[in-house]
Amino acid sequence: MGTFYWYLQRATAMILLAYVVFISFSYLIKPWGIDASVWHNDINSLEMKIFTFLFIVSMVIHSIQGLKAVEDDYFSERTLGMFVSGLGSYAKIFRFIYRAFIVLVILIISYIVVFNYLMGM
Amino acid sequence: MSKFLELSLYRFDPEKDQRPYMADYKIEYGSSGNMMVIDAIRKAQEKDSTVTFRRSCAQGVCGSDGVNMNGQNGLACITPVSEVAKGNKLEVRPLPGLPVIKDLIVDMKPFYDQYEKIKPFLDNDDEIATGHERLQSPSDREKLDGLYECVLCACCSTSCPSFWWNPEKFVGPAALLQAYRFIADTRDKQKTARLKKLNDAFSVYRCHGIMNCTSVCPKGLNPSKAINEIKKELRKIG
Repeated sequence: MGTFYWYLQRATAMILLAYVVFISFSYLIKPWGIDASVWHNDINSLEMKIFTFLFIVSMVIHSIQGLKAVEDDYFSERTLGMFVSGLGSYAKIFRFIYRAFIVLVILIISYIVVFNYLMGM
Repeated sequence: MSKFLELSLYRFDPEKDQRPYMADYKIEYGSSGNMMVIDAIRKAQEKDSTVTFRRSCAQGVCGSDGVNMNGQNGLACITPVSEVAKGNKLEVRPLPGLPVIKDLIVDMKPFYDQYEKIKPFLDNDDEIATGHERLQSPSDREKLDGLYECVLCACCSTSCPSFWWNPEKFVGPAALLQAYRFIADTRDKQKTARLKKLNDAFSVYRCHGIMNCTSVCPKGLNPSKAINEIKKELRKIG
């Protein structure tokens, strides 16, 4: 599975990069000739919604991999115990709070993107 | 250069001390005005016989006196004080990330456990065709240069943050260098099996390319390159 995760990390990174470059060149670096109506039409096109959906999915997958690495490294009994003696025994609680926070952020992003943008509500 | 070295040694005796502490020693330089770090530690031991450290060959071959000198891992026997001292001050601590047994002596078990995992021996059940040894072409033999010279001092693995945080799961640069030594050996018949055993999220892929291992290796080896070669081989088998 190690190689699979390695590919997944790079594939999602490519999508993230492509999206950022596309948005940067299309709207941020050359903003002339673009007004609110152009922006509105572009961003509500089906192609843009698919691209944005891919971007969000990639961002979530890519972030989860990175955040899991942070959890493994810094929310273990060993590491917490190293920072403050005795804190290591609360590692499970720290990990639970950390994961709950991540899930909450993902749910909020999903809600904003899916209901307010992709479904056009 | 000052006539004296202010040597600060990490001291911890689990039978006596509640916590580790740093002890200061004033060490006189010899007539050469320089010395190896191991000589400075030995002079400290002459002042206080309870100072405990590991050493054997004192020539950078046995790899038993790996320590942390002013923040950098290395072998005390081949590191001149002038190379690591800041001004005339030198702080010597045990290798980081491994449990301390006493003073500068660490428990190497987590390190050796990872070394054992990679099966550091030639695995080949085939009959020896020549009747006396397994032959290898000079070009195949060349592939092992820079891999077999490791003395297992643990300077690299204990300078690696990934090994500090996950010593049970991440194999570490020293053992991975040895893993690649056998993966690259054309006489070994377990290449695929060795690679499959390493193909998880931790064993190899926990290396984030920080390259502390390469910068501290007292033998001038490049574990980081070997790890990248393993990753390339892993991608070939999918």
